[in-house]
Amino acid sequence: MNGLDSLVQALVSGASIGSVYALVALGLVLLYRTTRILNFAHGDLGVAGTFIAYTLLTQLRIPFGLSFLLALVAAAAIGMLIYLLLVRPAKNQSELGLLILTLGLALALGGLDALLFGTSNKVVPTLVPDQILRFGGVSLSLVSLITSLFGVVLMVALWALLTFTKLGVAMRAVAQREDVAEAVGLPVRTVLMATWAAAAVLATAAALLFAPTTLLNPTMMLDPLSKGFVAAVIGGMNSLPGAVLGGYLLGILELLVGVYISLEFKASFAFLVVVLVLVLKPHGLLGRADVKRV
Amino acid sequence: MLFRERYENDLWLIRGSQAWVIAGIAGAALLALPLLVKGYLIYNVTLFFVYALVALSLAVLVGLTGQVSLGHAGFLAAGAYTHAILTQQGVPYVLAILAAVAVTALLGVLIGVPALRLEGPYLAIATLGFGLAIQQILNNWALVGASTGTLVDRPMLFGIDFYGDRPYYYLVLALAGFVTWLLFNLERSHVGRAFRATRDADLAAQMSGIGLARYKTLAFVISAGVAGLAGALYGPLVGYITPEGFNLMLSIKFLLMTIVGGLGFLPGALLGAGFITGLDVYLSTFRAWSQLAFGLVVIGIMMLEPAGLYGRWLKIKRFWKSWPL
Repeated sequence: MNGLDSLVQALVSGASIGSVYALVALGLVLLYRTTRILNFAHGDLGVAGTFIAYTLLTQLRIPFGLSFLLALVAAAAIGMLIYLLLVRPAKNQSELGLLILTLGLALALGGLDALLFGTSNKVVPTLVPDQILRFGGVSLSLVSLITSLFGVVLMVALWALLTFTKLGVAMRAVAQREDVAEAVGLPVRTVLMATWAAAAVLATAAALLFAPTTLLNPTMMLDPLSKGFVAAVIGGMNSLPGAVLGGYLLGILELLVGVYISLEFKASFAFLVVVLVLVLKPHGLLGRADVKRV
Repeated sequence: MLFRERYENDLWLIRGSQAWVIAGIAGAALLALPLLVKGYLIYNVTLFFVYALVALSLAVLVGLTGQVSLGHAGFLAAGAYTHAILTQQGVPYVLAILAAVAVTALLGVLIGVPALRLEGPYLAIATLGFGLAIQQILNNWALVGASTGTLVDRPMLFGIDFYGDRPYYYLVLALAGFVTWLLFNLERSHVGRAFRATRDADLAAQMSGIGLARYKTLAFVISAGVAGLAGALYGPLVGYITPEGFNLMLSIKFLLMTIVGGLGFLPGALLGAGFITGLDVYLSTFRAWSQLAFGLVVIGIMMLEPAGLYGRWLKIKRFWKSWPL
């Protein structure tokens, strides 16, 4: 393999894992900009959704596409329930209090998964039998190609939802100014519920896409979640394009570091990037500073 | 004494006869405890002292200055490893402790300075990254045993052997008690007031002549140094430290202690540390159910009592003070 090929290979593989990071980051940012909640339960929500899909697929023998769709619907319902039963009635509505609430939720969901499904690794079947495609010197697994494409489709769908639908406009309005949105008659509670549902769907989609590249267990999403946080912070916590940019950037940079510098350094590299980006741009690459009213 | 009505109230270390009684009983109980119970409980209470130090250090950082940290296990690890390496090289115990504090305080500067520009989620993720990075570095560092970890001995000091659980308990109690006293004093000093001012309204604080950069960095340094001391006490307590022991979950638990105990109150951090440590020990008997139960308890406290355990205690006190009117 010559130098150019290995570079292209790193870019392609990096973009493939980057699309998972981008999806995780999108879910985190979508929720943060609307509700100001840094959602530490995001990964466990995704794992819960993946366990649902896995159960439907292997126990009830429901076809692949349908069980994935049902898992996404279930995730949306779980997201709404979390908002209605936990977040809205919570008496501690400070940013830090809600962060701790999601931490508790993450522990509870992870514990529930471990209790119901055990901590052993499970293999999630893939849509097509995996094979390696070759383009010149660059090889690419079919599954990761489909993964990346599906990720892009989801991102476009989210963009279309936010731009062209009434719900999307309402979501953006609530994100901007919740009190004003309520004053002009938007059903803020419904909009927030929808936001939670959308975030949960994104979490589950990311976990479903990530599952075939690893093994399904309750702590599967720990690494993608922390990388998703990093991607979201690099891009800016209130910028959706920033989340996508941060995700792909992180995925590709990480792969390049793994190939050209050192494999051990790869995991902690992400956090070096965060510190560097934040020192130069404290609100991320595409994020805006919050205006502080005195 | 619930509300501070006069300037002197702000200066008292222990407020009112009730607080003296509580402090006295707690002190006497902690001194007498090792004589009354078995080794396992002594170990767990010593662990509580160590965790209480970290919770206090976080209470200063998060509670007083409003800067969040999800990487305090990293400071704990830095302190524990510095102490372990130095004592293995034959450095005297006291010097190793001081070095551990100095190294982590230096790390605190390293994190505190970039943290000046960060807030909210950005700071949370940056500190989370710091904690994970420390863990990674230790994992790949052959000198400190990489992922297999390293043994830490308990000290021999002034001719007294602190190897047993009981002597070591008293050593940790003395050091942790001293630092707790220092931190409570810090809170009521002008530094403590400056910390609270930067938390409540940084712009107004700056207008009143409080150097934001100075005090925010100072908070990080103090917090890191105390966590480092806790690390230096933690290593000999557990006897064997591995990078895996200082994971993200531990950082999360420290943050839980401060917030569940009552954010902004130093006694709350002590209460929270006791509650979370006790809950952990108690729930571990339930094995598979423990994580779920732990999560549910945390959710419950966040949903029901915004001011945490200490806030609830203050409300109870206020109720009885004005009862039956």
